[in-house]
Amino acid sequence: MNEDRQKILETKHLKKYFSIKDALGKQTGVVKAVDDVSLTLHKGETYGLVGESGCGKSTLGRSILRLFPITEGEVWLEGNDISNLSPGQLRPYRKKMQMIFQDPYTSLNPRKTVGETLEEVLKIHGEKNRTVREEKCQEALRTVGLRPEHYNRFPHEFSGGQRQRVGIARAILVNPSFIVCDEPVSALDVSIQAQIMNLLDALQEEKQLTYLFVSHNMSVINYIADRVGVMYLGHLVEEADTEELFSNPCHPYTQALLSAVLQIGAVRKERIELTGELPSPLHPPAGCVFHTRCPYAEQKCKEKPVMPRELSPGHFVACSLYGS
Amino acid sequence: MKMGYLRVQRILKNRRIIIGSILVFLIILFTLLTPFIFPEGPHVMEVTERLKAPSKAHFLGTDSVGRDLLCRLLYGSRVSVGVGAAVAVITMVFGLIIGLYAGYYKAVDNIVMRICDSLKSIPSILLAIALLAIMGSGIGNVIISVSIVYTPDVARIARAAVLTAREQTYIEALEALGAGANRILWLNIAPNILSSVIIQVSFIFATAIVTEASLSFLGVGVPVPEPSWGNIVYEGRAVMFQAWWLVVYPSIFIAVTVFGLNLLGDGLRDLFDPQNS
Repeated sequence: MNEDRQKILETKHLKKYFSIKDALGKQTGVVKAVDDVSLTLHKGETYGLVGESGCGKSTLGRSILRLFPITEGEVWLEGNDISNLSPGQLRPYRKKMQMIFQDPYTSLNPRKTVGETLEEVLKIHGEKNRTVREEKCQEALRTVGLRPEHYNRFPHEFSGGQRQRVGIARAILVNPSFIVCDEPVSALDVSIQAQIMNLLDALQEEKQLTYLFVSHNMSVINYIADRVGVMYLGHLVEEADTEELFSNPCHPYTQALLSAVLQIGAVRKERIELTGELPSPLHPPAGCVFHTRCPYAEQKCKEKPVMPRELSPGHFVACSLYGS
Repeated sequence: MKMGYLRVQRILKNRRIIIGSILVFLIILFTLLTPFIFPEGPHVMEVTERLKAPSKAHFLGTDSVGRDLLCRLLYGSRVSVGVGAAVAVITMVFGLIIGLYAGYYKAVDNIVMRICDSLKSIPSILLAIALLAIMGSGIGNVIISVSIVYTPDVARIARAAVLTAREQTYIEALEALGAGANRILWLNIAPNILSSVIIQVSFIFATAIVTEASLSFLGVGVPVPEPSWGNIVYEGRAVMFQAWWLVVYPSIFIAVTVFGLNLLGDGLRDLFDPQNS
């Protein structure tokens, strides 16, 4: 169904490894934070990325934004390969992709007023006229539901939700087409979460934004995402449209994640409990990375890595239960 | 930063800052006023008045060639406090630059901080003497060598503060916006770490005064007859048992100044960094 829509972002076999070095600079290990992830985002859609802490979902978001060099693979933004550009060459693309951060308390410089923080964004992109800058920033504040008098206030004078609004204003100020939302609501009160998600929704409608929405909260993902990718230990193990994924989860890990979600009024489903710990990404299991905790693991899972298969249109699963 | 009513109150409540700044202010005031109090300068000798104990004519007595001790101490404060202040400014500027870039670039960090470590592994007085032996004595060289000795201290503090500051997500947000390293370092990190640097520098101010005095006392610092607190003690040492005032009063001057500066530094730390005190 998405084939006819414009591709905004595409990653091809993206890998991000962090090397662990000892005091003398000798490499002693490699953390495979993101391992061979390919995904495609179309204009105006929200792609939800779920997984437990440490599975590499934030690293994936930051790799796409090229906040650090990529180990291998490609990132395509609006038809341009940006994976090997230098910081200077990247600058024009920085206007097209932005990020909203998890913690609204550290994402704003405590010594700068909201106005200064926002104006700095335009200064970086070469807007020299002060009045133009202020006008644009005031407009961004209005768009995110803040008042003009908030312009000269410091971050500590705001609540968490208001700060997150400032963070959103900073991200939309350069008119991006693609925004990485890195757990944008998980640090907020539940009542505020809904407000911020509605704001993100409204902005998406108005500006045709594309979101990569990173979260560990299944109900938030269910509410906001059009398509969902499930990550485990650096791998994308399942990807499907939201409805399809929530009604017909195929990967054993997705099934376990969903069975842990509480639902009001619903008959309590059987809870699938995963045993064991998340393996260290320093020494990921051979074969299928999930086999150490998978209730259906067989001998072949330990031997051969599984490739994603398309079960039904748009529904990809990397699990040998569905043929390998 | 806003200078609100609360902040003023916090300063007034902080007794260390009050006492410290009064002492430092008085010393600087005397230092500036010296040419008006003693217009004749520190080199006037009255041979008949040699080694006179403190009296009405010479408040703090005279030295072995009949120069007025108070006059020489006040002129000496121009040298001693001047050296301390110059060292404070120089170490702050260079320490901040080194610390900022070392904290931000790993490659710079590895090289520069190893150099700083090796400088700090040599006892400070020894290093200063070695540097002066290479460059020769004189006020300018004293300032340079003492600055070299203490710049690593500031650089280390600044680097540590940069490492914490750069982990904040607002720095990441700036990187995501395509901000250059200099904008991030000077406009966003530097203002936020300035308080820890200033605190360190206020202690270095005091330490530099002591170091200059020690160097001059050892005869490698400010050369006589130019008075500094250190070389006044150096000259007085020979006649210490006949004229105690030649050693005691300069020492008191040094002690009071260092005490005042340290109080001020402690007070500043309480003010800027309430969690750590």
